[in-house]
Amino acid sequence: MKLKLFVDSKLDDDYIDIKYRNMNMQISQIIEIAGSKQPSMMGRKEGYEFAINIQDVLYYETVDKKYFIYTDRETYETHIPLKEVEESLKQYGFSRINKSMIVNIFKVSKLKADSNMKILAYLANEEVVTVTRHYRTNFYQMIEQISFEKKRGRSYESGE
Amino acid sequence: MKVENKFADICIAFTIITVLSSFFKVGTVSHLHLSYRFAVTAIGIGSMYIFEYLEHWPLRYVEILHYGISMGMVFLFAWVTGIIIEPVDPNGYRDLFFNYTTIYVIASIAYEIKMRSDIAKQNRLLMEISNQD
Repeated sequence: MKLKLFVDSKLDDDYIDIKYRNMNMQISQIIEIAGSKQPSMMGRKEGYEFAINIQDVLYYETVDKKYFIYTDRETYETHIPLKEVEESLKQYGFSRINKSMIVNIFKVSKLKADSNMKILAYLANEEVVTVTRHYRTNFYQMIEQISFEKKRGRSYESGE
Repeated sequence: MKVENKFADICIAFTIITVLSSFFKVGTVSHLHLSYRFAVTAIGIGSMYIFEYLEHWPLRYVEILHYGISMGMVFLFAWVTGIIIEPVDPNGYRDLFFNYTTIYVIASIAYEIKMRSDIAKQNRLLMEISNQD
């Protein structure tokens, strides 16, 4: 599929034209993204590209120089590097928890210290991930910030 | 962990130890002893970089390793200063061992208590966040 971008500073409003031969899954996804205010990220599964609503993302992980997005039921591969995801999803309540993982704080149900004093984060799907000492302070600060924003009545930019 | 932060940690720990030992009237107080105390505090706190390098090790193992290394460095410091500044008291190494170990154990317990109270606090916040959704 070709992608053409045009800049015109004289336009009254931004708009998108989509030209397609047949409606397919990819075009549907693009229409969904274009018409939605929900932030999303692209992920690939079984050869298809999917727009994943970040509200559905549990965590992002890098394994052997490959990048994966995990939702409740699915795993998608993406090309977006960890640093970029860390920076861009910070505003939506995502926080780095170890060398290779970024977790959606809205999907963390509880924290627990194990017998070796490692902090474990239990996710909404009962999966357990480790929060290392190095990233713990920032992770806590992010939880406090979200809680503070919520108490002030402002919805954190989680796309809610 | 920046060097300035480490230095601030050393100064805070040194102040707390000095105030507590002064309060409980522990040990001899002289300029030399205060300098030694600062050096020992600097060894203990400064060597805590090891906790960052051994991030994936269980905390207990890193604590034991750190305790062993820092205790060894403290003994080495006492031995060197004993040669070039003032001979070590006959009970010096024993006192050093007990004082350092006591403070280390108290600090470890305090760290664990703080860690658990932080987790409890974060769990409360997570609960509030999910309830407000």
